[in-house]
Amino acid sequence: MELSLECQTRASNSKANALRHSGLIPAVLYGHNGVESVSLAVPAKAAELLVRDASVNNTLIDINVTDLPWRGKALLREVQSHPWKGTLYHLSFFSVGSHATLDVDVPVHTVGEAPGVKTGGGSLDLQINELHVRCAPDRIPEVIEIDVSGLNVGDSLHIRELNLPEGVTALVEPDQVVVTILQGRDSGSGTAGEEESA
Amino acid sequence: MLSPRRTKFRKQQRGRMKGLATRGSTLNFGDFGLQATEPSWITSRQIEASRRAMTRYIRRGGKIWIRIFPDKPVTQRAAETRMGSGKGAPEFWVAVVKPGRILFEIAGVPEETAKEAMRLASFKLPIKTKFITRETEES
Repeated sequence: MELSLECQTRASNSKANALRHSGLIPAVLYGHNGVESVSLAVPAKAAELLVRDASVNNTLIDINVTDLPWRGKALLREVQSHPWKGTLYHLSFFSVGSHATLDVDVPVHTVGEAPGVKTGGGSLDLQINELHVRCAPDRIPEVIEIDVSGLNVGDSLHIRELNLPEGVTALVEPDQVVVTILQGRDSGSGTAGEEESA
Repeated sequence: MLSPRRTKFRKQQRGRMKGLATRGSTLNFGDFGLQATEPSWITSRQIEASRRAMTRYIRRGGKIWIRIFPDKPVTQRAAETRMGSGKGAPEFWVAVVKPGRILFEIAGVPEETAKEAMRLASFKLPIKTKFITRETEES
């Protein structure tokens, strides 16, 4: 997914709340020049569209800072927002230009239908929703698909059993369970009645 | 009903519910959740009623997580007693909920089922709530 963003630098003495009231979202860019970071202001509308389309710590964004002689690709490292209104407070961008490998989070999706769920009455329990992986900036997978079509009740898939794309290595324990098929509530002995009356 | 097994002190002061939830405000276990948009005390009876409403609706399959725990004792004075003579006796337990707190999570059911189950659960609660999914939370 190719995304781009136009933004401007922010004066160091500007007030973040005043900026938000004027339709801009404060942001920061780091990693482009050693330990140096630069404060940015992003138009609120553009920021909302970006956050809607991009995944945190996964999607590469082409950032153009209009009043800075720098243009490059960056990851959306962090999004700060209101806990339930969802209004944006702050964005953090991490420049990837000078890095050979990156540590990113890739969403995990299941494909296929497990026999343990379809006929066995079990329920699919996806234990991780994102996988922390290391890869080159141009090889960030959008999603990791896990085939669950061979799983019966009680079966599980571990990190070591995943078929990761070439050049992508998982940064978690190989023995960690990714997905398991739990026994359904009504297939146990009297658990459904217990749920109701408990 | 949910209540602590044992506590260090029998009675607590009431406290205040200023601000927003700083913890427990993101989906961590399931794919769908019910998020509080108002502050309130939620009693263990209300949590249990909500849980039953959800469990009855989704019947089989799916998994429910309760993300709040009633660990605050509420005392009440006996009826028609004169003022004084100390604080009343502990009567029930409540969970202190601030706006943004995820109350319940569901996984393993379609979105429509989860939405309806959460709607039924929200009728048992004293606050306004919001149905959230993993997709809406990220955007």
